[in-house]
Amino acid sequence: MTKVAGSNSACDYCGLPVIGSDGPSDEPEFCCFGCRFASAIMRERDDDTTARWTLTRLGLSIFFSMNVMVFTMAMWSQDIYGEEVGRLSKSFHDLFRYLCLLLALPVISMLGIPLFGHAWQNLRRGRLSSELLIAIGVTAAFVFSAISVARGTGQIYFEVACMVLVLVTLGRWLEATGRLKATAALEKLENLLPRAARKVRSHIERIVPTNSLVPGDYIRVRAGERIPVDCRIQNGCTHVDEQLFTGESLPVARGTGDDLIGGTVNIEGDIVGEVTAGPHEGSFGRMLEVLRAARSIPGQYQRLADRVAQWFVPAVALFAAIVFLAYAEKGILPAVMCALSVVLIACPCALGLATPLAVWSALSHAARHQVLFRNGAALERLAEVKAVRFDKTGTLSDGSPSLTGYTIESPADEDRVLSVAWQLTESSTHVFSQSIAKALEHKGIREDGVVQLKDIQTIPGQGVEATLLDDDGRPASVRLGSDKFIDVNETLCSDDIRQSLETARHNGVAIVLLAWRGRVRSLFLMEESLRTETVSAIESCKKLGLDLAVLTGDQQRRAKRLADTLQIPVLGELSPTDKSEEIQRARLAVGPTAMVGDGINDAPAMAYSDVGIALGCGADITRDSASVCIISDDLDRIPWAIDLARSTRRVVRQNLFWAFGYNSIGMTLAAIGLLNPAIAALLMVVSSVIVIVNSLRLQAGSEVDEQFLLSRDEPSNPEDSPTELPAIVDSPKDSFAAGVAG
Amino acid sequence: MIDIIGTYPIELPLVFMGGILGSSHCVGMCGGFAVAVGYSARSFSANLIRQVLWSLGRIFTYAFLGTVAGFLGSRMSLGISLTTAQGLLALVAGLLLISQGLFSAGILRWPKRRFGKCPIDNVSWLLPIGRMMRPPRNGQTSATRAAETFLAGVVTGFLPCGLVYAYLALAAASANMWWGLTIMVAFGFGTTPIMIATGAGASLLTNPMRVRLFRIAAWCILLTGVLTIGRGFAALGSDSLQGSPACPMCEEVVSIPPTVQ
Repeated sequence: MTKVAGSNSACDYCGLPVIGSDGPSDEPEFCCFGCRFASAIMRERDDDTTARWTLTRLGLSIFFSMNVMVFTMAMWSQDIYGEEVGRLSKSFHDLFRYLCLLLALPVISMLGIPLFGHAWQNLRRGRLSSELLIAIGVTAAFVFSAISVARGTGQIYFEVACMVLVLVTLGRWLEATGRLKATAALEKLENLLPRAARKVRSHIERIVPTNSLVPGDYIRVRAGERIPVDCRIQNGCTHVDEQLFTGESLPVARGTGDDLIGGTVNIEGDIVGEVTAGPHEGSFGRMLEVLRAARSIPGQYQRLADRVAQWFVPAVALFAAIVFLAYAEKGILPAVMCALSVVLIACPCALGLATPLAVWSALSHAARHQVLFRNGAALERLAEVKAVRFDKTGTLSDGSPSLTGYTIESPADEDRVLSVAWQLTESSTHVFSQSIAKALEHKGIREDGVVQLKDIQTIPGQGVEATLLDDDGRPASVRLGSDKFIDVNETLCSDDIRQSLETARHNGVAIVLLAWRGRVRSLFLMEESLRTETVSAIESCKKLGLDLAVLTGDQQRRAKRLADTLQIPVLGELSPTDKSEEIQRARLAVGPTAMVGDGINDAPAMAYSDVGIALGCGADITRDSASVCIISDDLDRIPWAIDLARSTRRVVRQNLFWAFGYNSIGMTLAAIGLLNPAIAALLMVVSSVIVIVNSLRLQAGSEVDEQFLLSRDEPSNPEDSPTELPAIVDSPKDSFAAGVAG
Repeated sequence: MIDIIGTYPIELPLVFMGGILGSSHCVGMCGGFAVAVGYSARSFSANLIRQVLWSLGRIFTYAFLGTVAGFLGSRMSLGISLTTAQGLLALVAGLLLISQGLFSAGILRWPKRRFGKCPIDNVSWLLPIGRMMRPPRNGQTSATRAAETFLAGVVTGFLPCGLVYAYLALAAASANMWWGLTIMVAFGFGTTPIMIATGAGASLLTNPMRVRLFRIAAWCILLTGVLTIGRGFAALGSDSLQGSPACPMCEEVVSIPPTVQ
């Protein structure tokens, strides 16, 4: 697994930050005993017999422990009918004690030694671990039981020692698996990136490992293949499935000069692109980077848990020692048993897992649904949010105005006028022009061949101008633009047009005029259209009980119309400073406030809000002002994210409540000697499982998408489909495979 | 030993027969393992040895669980009177067995269950068992290979199974760890023939024959359940009529079997 760059080093198994590590080192580091163990089992190197041996060791330990338990129970049932024990049974009794000792020995050595090893490593780093306490307790139980057997009298607790070791190992392994499940989902997607790419150099195409690509290289991606790295199309056009990254289910068209995201699928075209970012540095890599960074910054609850954990183990050690001394008069073994129970029940596994597991689970789940939290704290703050303020342009609306209607001076002339309008707008890049051209094209308007335009030029900030050649060949100047570009007082307007103009101005609707030969020929009404999901998203937000409002720089009239559509307050004519002040006001009046915007124009307002949510981050996921980035343009993700944050808060609280409650009750029972250590170990496992399952619940329902994403073929990977190697490959497959491995 | 712990001469063959059904029950789950166990075997006999080892592993676990259940049953009888505890446990076990029998005979249908809802899917936990069954590597002795196969069986025995639980309830109702052990061993041996045959790749039975066999097994389970309930009522009855002789079925006083393991 990849390690997190920077000063933090990550667990070699679950990828989570290792607390108290000295920074990255060559040796694999593990955040806990469970991860060390799980890694030993799951290591993917088949030639490594250690992995098998670890598992066999656990299996043998379970087997021997079961035997020990049966013999112990046999002795117990003799004890029940104690006075009835005959001579035969007595000799069995002694035999069973020796058998227990003999059978417990391999368990202690096979599971106890690794536990001690882990505890010792922690001790060398100056950390007292609960594993150390457990290992000491188990060893004491074993040694004193062995002495009892040798002396022929006294109690024995071999079954406890074995059970505790088996359960602790199983429990830790379970926790590690849970953590891996909470975090690895997205990393798993990273593995989807093809390991090989078709590099093109002086018209020769060869397959190289993806890792060897550097920016500036040229690569070819054939239809159906996954794009290995971020690149810019140099040649060819295609449709790309970017669902993996943006959540957009429809393929998007990409042509020369467009950027492609590594990991997305090239559906139909054969393209050649220039690599723009090295492997692991592209959009996908950055996304993972943000996610990893988010995991390493603890939230409020997690800091609480960490603070508790700091003094927890020493406190437990002290408490166990007190319990031991208190029971010492009853004999060393019972005292060891009580102290061991205390250690096991107080083991902060559930407590330590309670917060991070839920938060990490939610972070990964969100990331897979195109919502990136900058850190766990942002998730916690989002759960607290009472008010949401929306920016309008580019957030509620899609940012591009669309043609909502037009008025023609003389309807008989419609085709000709529209054809002129199309020719003018088609050549301009202004959003209004493009939108008009698109709408007209949709209507089937094209160049009609009658009206000829020449010398088309764009006058920045004003409009488009050209020379028009009528069918009679007379040239005239034609203009298309705002009412500033075409002075309506000096140009002739028909009554229809003047009326439309007045209404539009009254309603605050933007207009585009087309005029030639001193007459306004046509008026186009432009309006920003709301995103399709805006209304439903606002409805969902209302259902969450949030105080909503829209902040916009638009005129009051336009704001009023938006307010009527959405049924929420819309505050118009706000400058960026006003927006910030409005946020401050909402924070005072309502409570924690989230600001939703594009993260660029409204950066100041976001800075003042408790949580800034940037929409449509796309590949640019590092917008600093936002603590939550939504990669897609999907507004519905906002109520979704708030809901997720609230669920996470609920799960964290449930976990903490459970962990604290279980610990305090269990501790009391253990301290008064009512809890057998074996039962305590079992309870510990059960408690961890409850916390794990509860936390992973946050990811429930995501399997479908995951499976969809994982089911994609990877034809560009020659390991999977060696027959598809193109003939021009000039390196033999073996050396290629070696290159990939290295 | 003042106990009226019954012997189970009638039940044991029935339990064994019922165990045969275990193989139909779990052919979905355990059957896959059985095939995996023999996957890389070089010869039929090598495969057969592995199948036997694997099944022995399962039987070991069943025996262990039976012992624990029997022991817990006897422990429970310390609190209340032995016969009351036995009677109550027998009623529970009987009901479980009857329902299992009815389901298996196809008289009752399982309620539709949705899989994949649990966030921790089964597969990830089964992975290590699968790992134990991978083909041997260089330098691996046949002894470790055998141990691994046996251990895989031990772990498989712990897999959740309604039928196993029903028989464990019966084991608990015996309120004696050795009888618990015996019952579960009988059940375990019952599961072996078809499981080994499946694993060895041999289809000893035609499909209609198999269906008939499973039907018979289902009725065996049902019968065991009815007998157990009868015992339960008898035990409770004998408890209320203190001093009356024990029921004829549980007359025989049992001593601890001399063989252990």
